[in-house]
Amino acid sequence: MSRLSPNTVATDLAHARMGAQMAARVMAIASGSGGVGRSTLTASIGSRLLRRGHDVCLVDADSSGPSLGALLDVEGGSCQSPWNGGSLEALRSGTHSRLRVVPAGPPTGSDPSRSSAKRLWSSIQELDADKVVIDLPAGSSDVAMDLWLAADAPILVTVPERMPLEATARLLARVFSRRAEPWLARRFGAARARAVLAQAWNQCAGRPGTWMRSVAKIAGVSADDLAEAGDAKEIHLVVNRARRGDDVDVGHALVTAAGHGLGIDLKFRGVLPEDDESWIRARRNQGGAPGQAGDLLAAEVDDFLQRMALGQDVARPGDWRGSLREAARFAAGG
Amino acid sequence: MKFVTQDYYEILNVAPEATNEQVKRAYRMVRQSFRPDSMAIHSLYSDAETEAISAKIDEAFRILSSPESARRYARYHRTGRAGMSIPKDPDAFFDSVHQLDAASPIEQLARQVGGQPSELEESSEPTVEPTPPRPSVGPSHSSEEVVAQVEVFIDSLEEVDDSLPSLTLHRGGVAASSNHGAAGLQAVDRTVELLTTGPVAHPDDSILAEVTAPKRPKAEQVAVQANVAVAFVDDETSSGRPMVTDTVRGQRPGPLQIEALPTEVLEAIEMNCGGINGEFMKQVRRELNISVEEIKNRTKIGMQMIMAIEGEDHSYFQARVYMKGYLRQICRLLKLPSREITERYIDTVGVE
Repeated sequence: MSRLSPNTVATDLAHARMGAQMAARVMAIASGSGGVGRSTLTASIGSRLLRRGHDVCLVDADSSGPSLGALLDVEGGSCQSPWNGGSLEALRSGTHSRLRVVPAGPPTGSDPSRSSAKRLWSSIQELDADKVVIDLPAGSSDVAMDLWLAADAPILVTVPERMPLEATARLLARVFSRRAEPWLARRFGAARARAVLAQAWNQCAGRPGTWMRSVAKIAGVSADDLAEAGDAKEIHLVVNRARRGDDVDVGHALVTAAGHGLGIDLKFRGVLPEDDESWIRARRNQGGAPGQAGDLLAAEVDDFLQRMALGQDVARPGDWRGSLREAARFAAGG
Repeated sequence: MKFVTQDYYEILNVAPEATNEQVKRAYRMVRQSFRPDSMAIHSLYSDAETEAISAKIDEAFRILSSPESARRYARYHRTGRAGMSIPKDPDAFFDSVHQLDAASPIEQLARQVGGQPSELEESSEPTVEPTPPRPSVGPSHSSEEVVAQVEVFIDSLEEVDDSLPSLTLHRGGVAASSNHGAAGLQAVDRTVELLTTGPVAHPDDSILAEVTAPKRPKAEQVAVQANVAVAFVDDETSSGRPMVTDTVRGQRPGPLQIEALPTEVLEAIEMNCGGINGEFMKQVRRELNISVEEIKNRTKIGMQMIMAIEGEDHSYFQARVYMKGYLRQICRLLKLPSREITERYIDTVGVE
């Protein structure tokens, strides 16, 4: 999509949405617990990017749940899974579609080694596609975390329900320890770093929101320094299955909690409502026609991509005034 | 491990009025997402925690799937939440305050369901700290869930530093509280924002505020903006016991009687406006002789948003979720078929 001239922007917001091109090439989608809509979101993003004219490759790294190929009605290809030492070569040479699905599900029952994550990551970097979207397994296995945080744009999906939110908080806690541990290890040595983290975890009794402060107190460092430790890459948050405006507030609350409690730069980029019946059918994999899932909630997914591209957050009701206009101005390079 | 919730409805994500079939389906879904052999769960929780979570989910299902125990739990849930209108009498207020320190929900439930509390305690992890029972009004309360959800995070924001005073707000009895330090203050700000921008105030709404002097102006502002009663508590009295010092009540708008417009009038307006659009909303409102401000007072939707809906100002329509919700609220107030009008409006106006 070509860049827009400034004077069309103010009047044609629909075009402005498409005007901002995303810099991120590799997106990776993770969640705390399963069943929050990772695969469906991956498929939707893939479909929207395709519509914008990109060559898209979806990496199906999640062996559980409906397969991405079925959701999008795309042939999965039959190359050996890179988790087991295979390569992506077969797919690179063998497909003609501009939207490809690479199966990369980890072997069930064992936690693949970190080196296999490294191998997969380098294969992904070599993929001949302008956009790559990785559908990761739920949770925080080392491999999933490595891939997630290596991506240009790590995306976190959650739903505004108690138990999944709790799991989301845990996942974010893992992100914190993953960043803090090497930083603490450099100062106090590896053993002490681990001990501090564990002691603080026990002290906060499984409530991630107080972990960083406990760690800071025990280690005798400032919480601010700890918050800055390690890789400060931002993580893009999507709240799925929102039923009311109130559910949007949950997203904002999560952002605040992650920032203050764990020093994680969470950016609230997207809201996908639940009130769309076809969306629900596709999500539950009950009678949704294959190939349609990618087009569900196109407008919301476009909004999400747009916000990621512009570095914009989902608005609070009070912030609405003029924000999209500002975005349009920004998109036009003003 | 401390569970964020002891509420069985929340654990299964079902409404209290859910049918047995819905409870079963919800149980299957949450069981599937949190099954102990799932890699995801294994990577996030310790074995002991996983066991405790499973036990909790099973327990919730056991109670809610049997009609008799479900009824008892619903009754407990309601009685646990009843009587939260502002007590006029300080002694009555103390009763309700002290109830916050009373037995955990699980113990109360155990007594009511007739099991042995110790058995039920054993089935959860030994280190579980019981959350205090939430005195509160009925489960259908629209803003209650928001506050409850945010509460999880407010809870986890608690600071180690306790040098700052605390503010506790209850809406419909649900406490969104805490506490200390900058994060706590920010959480309180957020709560106040939620309370003031939340859905229409329920006639029975009340806010109980344990406020120390510096935060009092804020609580008063809440009372006025959210049209609810607020009781102020001073916990530094000479007797050493918290006292209700006084109460403030916001001005509740008088009832607005709106008669639905006859279908032929609506059709005429629709023809006149060339469809269901902003102009239609405006003309319906004028036909009913209602001002934008009255809608604002009744729905808590900002004037500018109402005007943006009538003026089809796209710069306000960024989040469709909000927009739809607001439009539905306005339709309900104006006695219009909300679902149909909302959808047709969005079609015509082209909200993306």
